[in-house]
Amino acid sequence: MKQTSPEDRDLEKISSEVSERYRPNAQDEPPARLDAAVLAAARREVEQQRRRRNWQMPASIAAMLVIGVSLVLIVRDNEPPLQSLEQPAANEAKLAKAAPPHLAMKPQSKMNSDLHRERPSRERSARPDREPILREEMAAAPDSAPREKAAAGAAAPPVQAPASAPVEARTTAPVPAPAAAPAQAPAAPLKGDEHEQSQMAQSRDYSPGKNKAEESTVAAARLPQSERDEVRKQAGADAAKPADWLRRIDDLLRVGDEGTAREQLRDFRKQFPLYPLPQRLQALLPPDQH
Amino acid sequence: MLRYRDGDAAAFEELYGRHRGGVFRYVLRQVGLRSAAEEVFQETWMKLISARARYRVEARFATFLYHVARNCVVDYFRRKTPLHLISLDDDPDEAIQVAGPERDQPERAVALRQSAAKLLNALALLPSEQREAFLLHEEGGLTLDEIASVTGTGRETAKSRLRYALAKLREGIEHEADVA
Repeated sequence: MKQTSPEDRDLEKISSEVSERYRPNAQDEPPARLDAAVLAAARREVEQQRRRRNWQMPASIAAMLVIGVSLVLIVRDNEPPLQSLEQPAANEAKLAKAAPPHLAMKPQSKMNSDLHRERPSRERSARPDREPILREEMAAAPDSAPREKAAAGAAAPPVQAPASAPVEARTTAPVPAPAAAPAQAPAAPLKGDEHEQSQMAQSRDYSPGKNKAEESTVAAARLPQSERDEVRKQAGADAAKPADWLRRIDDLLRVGDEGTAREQLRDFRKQFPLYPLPQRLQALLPPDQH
Repeated sequence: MLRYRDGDAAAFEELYGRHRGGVFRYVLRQVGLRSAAEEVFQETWMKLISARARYRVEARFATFLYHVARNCVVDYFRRKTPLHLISLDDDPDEAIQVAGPERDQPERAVALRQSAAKLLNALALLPSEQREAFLLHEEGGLTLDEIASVTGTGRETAKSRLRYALAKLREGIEHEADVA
């Protein structure tokens, strides 16, 4: 008790005197049965609390997992399908400008493998038309051509077929494309490298012939191995050597494949927006892209 | 109390052992009957147990405990009809037991026990606020500030009540001695 004044000291004195008389009465205590009842109630309460904690923790973890997985699935389903693919491709174009030729393709192929790993099988089955094209393009192509055309590409006329087909076919467009993109005749005899094609189909983790886009991809895969290697080599070189790419576009123009040339030129412009174009090629682009 | 709140049952036993006597006597002197005191005492601790999850250290534990006990006493008097001070069902000997059976005490302390019994009689005659202030101070060991907090009054009021209570108790003892 805080006592400083004389009045408080007097109070303290009387208090101690009365306390001395009162103390013998301090033997009244609660009966033992009451003690037992109170202590049992206290212990019961603690055990109940422990039991509550025992199921609350796993239940809350399970609830969090369910909510988390649901959110991930919802976000993935609502995710715009192409935007996420275009964005890395745009970044790739910037990298291609800055990086030395032997490094130009590395980030994209890495991204490609990451994309395949992360995409759930549910989504893969939901978008079968894009997947094969994605694999082929991301593996070999330096450009960022619109992937929406993939689905339409299979049904397009022969002139458009090279643009929608995998880049292997597109880069060799002038001569082999019309013959090597038989989207309308997938049942043609497969000649000698039938075995090779089936091996490639297995390694790509999908069964060919389910839709037109896949068929066109398979058709491109029918090219002889040596030719495919050549195409890949050239495609890789295109990313690093704009002059070569332009020369190839010029060749396309010369053989009269203006549609493919225009598309190639558009892709070229996306990758090399500041590279000077020859007069003849500039005519293919809208004026604002010159 | 914090340890008990966090699930340590042994901590409660320690706490209960330290305060059980004081709380019981506080309640007993307030309600006057042992059976009623037991009921209120048990209610006090049950409330404390159920409130442990919400317990926050805002004051000394004793202050919190006697606050709960006081509320239970107030509830008890509210439940009782005003004229039902001593029920016909109550054991008439109970009131005598409040002072404690003398046969249990050593002979040399008999005189002191008699004096204590007189003090209890004087205590029973005090106004309830003064009796409450005295019991909180004596049984709970509360300071004037803590008494003021528990009873919801100012420090000066609590001090005044305690002073009057002590004065009347001393006077009662001396008067009994004079009469004897």
